[in-house]
Amino acid sequence: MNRPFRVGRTVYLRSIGREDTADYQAWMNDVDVWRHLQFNRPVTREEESRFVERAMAMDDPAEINFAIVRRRGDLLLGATGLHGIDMVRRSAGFGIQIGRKAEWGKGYGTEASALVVDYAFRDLNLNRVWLHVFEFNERGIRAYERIGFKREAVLRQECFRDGRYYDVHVMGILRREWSRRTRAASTRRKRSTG
Amino acid sequence: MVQADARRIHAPEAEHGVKNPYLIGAKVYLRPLEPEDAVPLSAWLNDPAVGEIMGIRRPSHEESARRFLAKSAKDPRQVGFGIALRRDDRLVGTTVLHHISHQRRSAALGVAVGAPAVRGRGVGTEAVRLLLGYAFETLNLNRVWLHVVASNEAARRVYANLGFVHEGTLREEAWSAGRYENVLVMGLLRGEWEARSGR
Repeated sequence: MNRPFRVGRTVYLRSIGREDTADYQAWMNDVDVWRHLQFNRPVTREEESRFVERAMAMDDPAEINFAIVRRRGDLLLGATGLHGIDMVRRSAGFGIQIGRKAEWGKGYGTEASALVVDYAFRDLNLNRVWLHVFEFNERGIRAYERIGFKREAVLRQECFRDGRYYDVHVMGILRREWSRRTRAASTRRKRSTG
Repeated sequence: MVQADARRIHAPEAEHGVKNPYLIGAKVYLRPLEPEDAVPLSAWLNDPAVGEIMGIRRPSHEESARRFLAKSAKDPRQVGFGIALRRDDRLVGTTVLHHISHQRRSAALGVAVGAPAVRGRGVGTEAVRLLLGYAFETLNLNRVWLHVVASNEAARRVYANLGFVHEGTLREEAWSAGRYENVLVMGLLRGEWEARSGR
């Protein structure tokens, strides 16, 4: 593992580095990836470098970005992070993209999301994490529900893709819901080992 | 319904004179915000009731308010207006479209009536109606949305009366007067606006 920051069973989170730029740029120009994000323009090498430099500098208190890496083979899978972090309201927005399509459907995104949510509550002392997901991103919605996010609002026609409007779902998870889940998970672990 | 006839509000006896009316209603008009508006704006921002709505929790000085206005004026993703009374051209609040996206033809709406004496007199409602006309008829937007804290029932009523639909509730998204509060998301689509304004 290279610069591991938070380590899961199959993936780990680490700081983003310049070595990630080429993969990120390729993924941000892949329609299968960007159609699920609020991006609508081609991303140049320079723009992607600006994002990477910003992420490396870590000087914006409202934003934290991570690279998602598969432990086996140290393979870069995508990026995730928190944005709009507000330490008075103790709230932050969550975002993720798994750009390496060959690794889709293997649960890596779910595990990386859970690592970020865990970091938000345990390390940053946040009270609430929220996210926006387009209504046609069914895999995403399922993964977020599995982690414990609840659907809170439906923003009608807030997304435009393929010539028509779609709804955007707002999902949120509160600290007390997360604690309950982690307690339940550790109880399960104890039982299975005992 | 949005008219831009400056002569209708010409009032030579007014202390400050007519100030560039842009969108004109029955009681109020919306006009551009100028650097000197930082003086009243700063006073309003120091009122907890207003500062909280705008997410500002630090004491305001005229200088910070001036910078805030200058920065907002340069941001292509927002359009802000001063709300002035036709009666005496007094600036009583501000209203703004922000997070404007021309790709999805969407924007967020915010309004703050700062002068306590004119609150609850339909000033904010009329200003919002003027701004919605601008959003749908001039900017050709498809959707206008807003956030309002659950306990602000007066504002919720105003928005519901204007046609906004409650789209969901963000749990504990606000920190207000020492406790967490839910925040309602309300949205208004172009078709709903047109049906109500008889178009």
